[in-house]
Amino acid sequence: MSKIPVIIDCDPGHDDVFAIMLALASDKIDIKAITTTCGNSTVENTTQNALNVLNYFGRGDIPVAMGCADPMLFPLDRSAGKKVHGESGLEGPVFPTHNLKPVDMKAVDLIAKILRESEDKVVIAPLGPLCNIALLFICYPELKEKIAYITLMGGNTYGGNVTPSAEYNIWVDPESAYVVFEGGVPIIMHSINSTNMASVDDATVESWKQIDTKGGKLAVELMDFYTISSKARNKKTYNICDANAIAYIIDPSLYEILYTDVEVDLVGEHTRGRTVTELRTRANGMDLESYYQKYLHRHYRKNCGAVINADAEGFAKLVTESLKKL
Amino acid sequence: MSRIPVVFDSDPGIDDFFAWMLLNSSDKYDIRAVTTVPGNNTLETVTRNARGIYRLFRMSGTRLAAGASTHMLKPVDVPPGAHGPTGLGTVELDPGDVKLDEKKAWDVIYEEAVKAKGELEIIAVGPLTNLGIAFFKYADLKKLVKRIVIMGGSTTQGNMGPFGEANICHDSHAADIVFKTGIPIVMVGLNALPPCAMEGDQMEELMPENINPEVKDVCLRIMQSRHYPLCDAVTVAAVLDENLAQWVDCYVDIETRSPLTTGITICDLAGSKDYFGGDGARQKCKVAITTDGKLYYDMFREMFKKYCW
Repeated sequence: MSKIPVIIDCDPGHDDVFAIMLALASDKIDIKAITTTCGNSTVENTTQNALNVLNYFGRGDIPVAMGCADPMLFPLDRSAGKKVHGESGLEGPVFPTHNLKPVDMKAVDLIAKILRESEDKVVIAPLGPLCNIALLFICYPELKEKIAYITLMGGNTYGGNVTPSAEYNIWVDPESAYVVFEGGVPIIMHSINSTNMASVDDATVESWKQIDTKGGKLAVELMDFYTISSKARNKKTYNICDANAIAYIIDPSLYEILYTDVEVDLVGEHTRGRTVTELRTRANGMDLESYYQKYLHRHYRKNCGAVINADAEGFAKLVTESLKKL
Repeated sequence: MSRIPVVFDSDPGIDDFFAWMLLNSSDKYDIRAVTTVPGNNTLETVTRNARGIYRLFRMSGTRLAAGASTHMLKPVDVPPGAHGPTGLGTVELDPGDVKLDEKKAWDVIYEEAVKAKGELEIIAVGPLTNLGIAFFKYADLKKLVKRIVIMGGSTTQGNMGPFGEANICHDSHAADIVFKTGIPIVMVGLNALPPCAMEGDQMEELMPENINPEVKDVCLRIMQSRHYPLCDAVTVAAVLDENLAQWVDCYVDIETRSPLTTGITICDLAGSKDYFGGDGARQKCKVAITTDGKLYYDMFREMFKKYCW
């Protein structure tokens, strides 16, 4: 069986690194590139973090391209990212020095090049704000058809994380998210709510200490920091959210998906950056199509597969097994 | 123990009927006034229903006042279907000689708040227009009200828009005013209701033999039009016995601007504001997460005993 070509667009980030590790360990995934965006830290930092991780695993062959430094309309607000991931975006692990550099090409152009040259459709896995993917859709709309699907970590079906009504990746750049969700490419949305369902517990994290591989060691170092910042938010389990977007490519059966209407809110006083997800089957006594025509003056569409349930045990097992292979 | 003075603001309404019935049967509260607001039907219809309910429950001494005929920024938009043509399914109650107060709802609320010297509670189970007007008109009212109990909103799904609930959506601006008053707020939303679902035949089983025949007849005929939990009744039940619900304290904000999300009650269950800061509400509300159906049924059984005459 040929491997699935995947581009990981990310802002590492502790959970991003778990996602990258799942992809590196999987014999189903061929990582075509890692592209970076601002988000958990500056794009310079997230790029350096990505290179550090690839070097650590001896995978300098995977091209890294640096992407957007700021969201579409406003400068990056770093305060929340610093609280969760520290100053560098990846506080905790200390990586060896190396000479790896990003390619001399913007993220959007590397993604475009790969899509253009690929015979198979490519899966894109955005794990941070959707700046680069929005730019791709705007610059190269003709390449959308070369995307198999997008499996992204972001958004919320109910409550948020960075605000009570929005999830961080979407909140950082709602306009870019809007472009992506309206883009017509199939999307699987691993929301903050669904990824919370797949949170790992102390016992799982403890078990990683017994894994004598590079992956196991890095996982423990990452969690040493990440559990502290999670506990500061009164969390008793740890959501390594981004890893779900990659786990879906490896084993979609871990997730229950509802294909429905999702629109990103851009204007709410409180709900800006919310992925407004239609979870009902009927509304105000009408079928959804009639309801959307009457109240939102547009069609009801199923533009997104929202994850509504996750197999926490299966996910933890997949992560653990992946760490053992690295 | 002295009873708590309360104003009951309502848009009867099938579930309003049973909320009122529960509240009226309780020794915990002294209903100082009932005020009406459009929502489940027009002001005219819900006020006529209110007069009929007042008569049916043989109330006296409680003020009954009509409220706003429009919402604060929007006209009244009665949803088709949910409460039937009369607002009580197809039941038309005889209002008898029940008279309305000369004063409007917001003036009655203010007067009763002044009289109660800081002890007044408001139980509001319709759109919050009357309360919004009252707080807008009387700046000192927020210092005079002890607590506001609201049926409205949701921590999860809505019934108007993907997340909006009708009472808040009908007048999100009024809701925004109320939630920003700083007065302790108890919120029972759609998320908490499913355990308290009750069908007409289940209700009939809870009624004693000697219940007043007109009361019984009206209850059961109203229930013929109802197929989901009696939201307002669950709300009253949850404050008559606060063990009936599981509660959390969290910030609640009302969205008023976005066409996609206006009317949503954003409940900060994850504690985002405590950790990341942010704008909006600065006082936590007491929000029902789920409810206990058995206690609710027991409460109905006890309630019906008070309507045997």
